[in-house]
Amino acid sequence: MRYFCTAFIILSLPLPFTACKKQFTGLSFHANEIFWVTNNGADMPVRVMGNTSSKVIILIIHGGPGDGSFDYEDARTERLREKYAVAFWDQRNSGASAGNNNLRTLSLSQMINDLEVVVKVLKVRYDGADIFLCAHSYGGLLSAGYLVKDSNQGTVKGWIDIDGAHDYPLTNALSRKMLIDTAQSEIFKNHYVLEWQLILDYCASHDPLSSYKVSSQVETYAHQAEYYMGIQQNYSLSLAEDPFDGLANYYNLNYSSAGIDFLESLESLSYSDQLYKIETPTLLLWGQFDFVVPPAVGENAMANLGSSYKKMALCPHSGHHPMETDTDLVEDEIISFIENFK
Amino acid sequence: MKTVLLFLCLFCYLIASAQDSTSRRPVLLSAVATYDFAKSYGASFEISAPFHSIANQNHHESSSVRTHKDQFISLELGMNRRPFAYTTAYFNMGVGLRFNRCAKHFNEVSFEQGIQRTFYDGKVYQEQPDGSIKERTLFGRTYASSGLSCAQNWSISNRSGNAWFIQLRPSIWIQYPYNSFVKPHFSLQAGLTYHLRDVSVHTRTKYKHQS
Repeated sequence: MRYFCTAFIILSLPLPFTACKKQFTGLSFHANEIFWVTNNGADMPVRVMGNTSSKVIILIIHGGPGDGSFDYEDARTERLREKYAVAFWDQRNSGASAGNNNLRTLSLSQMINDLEVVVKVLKVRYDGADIFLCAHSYGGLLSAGYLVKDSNQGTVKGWIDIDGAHDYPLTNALSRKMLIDTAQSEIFKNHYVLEWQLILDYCASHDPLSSYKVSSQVETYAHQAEYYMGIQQNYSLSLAEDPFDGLANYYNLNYSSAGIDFLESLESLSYSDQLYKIETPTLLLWGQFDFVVPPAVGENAMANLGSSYKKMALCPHSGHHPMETDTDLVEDEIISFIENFK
Repeated sequence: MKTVLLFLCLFCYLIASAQDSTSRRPVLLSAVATYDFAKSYGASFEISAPFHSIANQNHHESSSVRTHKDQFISLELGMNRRPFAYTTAYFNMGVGLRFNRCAKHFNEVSFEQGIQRTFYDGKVYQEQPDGSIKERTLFGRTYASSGLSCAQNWSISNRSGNAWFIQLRPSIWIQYPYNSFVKPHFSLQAGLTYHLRDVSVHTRTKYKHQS
């Protein structure tokens, strides 16, 4: 029995020592820390990595909805983390966010409220640090909703929008148009003829604005189109992410009635007519071959934004994920933007 | 034809069941290390006690083998850690079957039902009704859990008592309600099992004679 107790104690000993980096210990050049924000039934992790001493924080607003922020963790933000701190926030029902019965609260307005709280916590925790929102894809809709609401834009120094879908109906329509136009030219060039013909036939006969099902199918074709255009794709799962979390979130969004209702509710959302309210400096980064959220959506944002400084840069080797395929260009643009407005 | 079949059965095999009697069956203690895919690890402590046993006495021409199938209940207390996420404390109650086919090895299958509490890494912040931000201490969530496991135990004792065993136990379990759904888990546990003592349990013995 004595040996048995000894074995148990030895097995338990390493546990307390695994949390040595978790606590906030002040500003650092090489921070790697986590904190959580709990808001209306969802507990959302925010992992902060990089140079918090810079007092500049880039808050990642990931896409999806339902993906995780840790997808942006590795080389895609390496240089940014040397100069600034990068905060990886998992939205509710995404990534490693947890909670009990919280799916009923899933809505864009709730997520905007979550973002308000996360920004407020970052300000408190990092003593008034400069915050730049860095949104991707669905994050573009979420961050646009945040910025046009009340006086929220006063809390951040800048908005970096990477292939952001601030207008879903426009995105759907332009995605279909880009697929049809490209399919015709690629078939003419004899590239992936069968594949492009399938896309052309479907897009020509289906309007993504007619139903969520059609819109989803067009999005699937839009991702495939990147491959046919020779865009390098890297969808490897981040090692920091628990695949079982992803499984639960994927089921929730795509197979539960609350999740499907949420996704369907996004299809009609547009902030195009409110972008004029945004006066925050804005950097738009777009993959030239993004069929999911085409560059024309970015041009729409450029035309409507009320910002005194707004710039759009096209990434020539990229589809929907320029931070993966044009990492250097994306980081250079972000660093230059932040240096101007921090 | 029926007569032939009956004859063959009677010729080859004979089973006789006795009324319940008692026998001495082991209470076991286990201390195991756990790896929960993909990122968690921890340790747990379990005690299991038999409440009923079925003994099979197989008589062959030249030998006699006695095996036991014990029905047991178990209590497990443990802790798991997922770095940069949370620590989980859990308590499980289980019911299962233990198969003893030889003195040096036994295996178990069991169903566990439990409760777990997570405690998040780092500070937890919450906005107050007045708009201020407040830290929450020891904040976490409570979940139910249900799982199935299958354990293999090999004796490492030289003495006849077989006091110590090495245990390897894969298990699948679910945590719920997790974001209004269930979160599946796959765990692998490895550790030591100790034969604490024997207790008297009701036993039904089946005698099988095979020629």
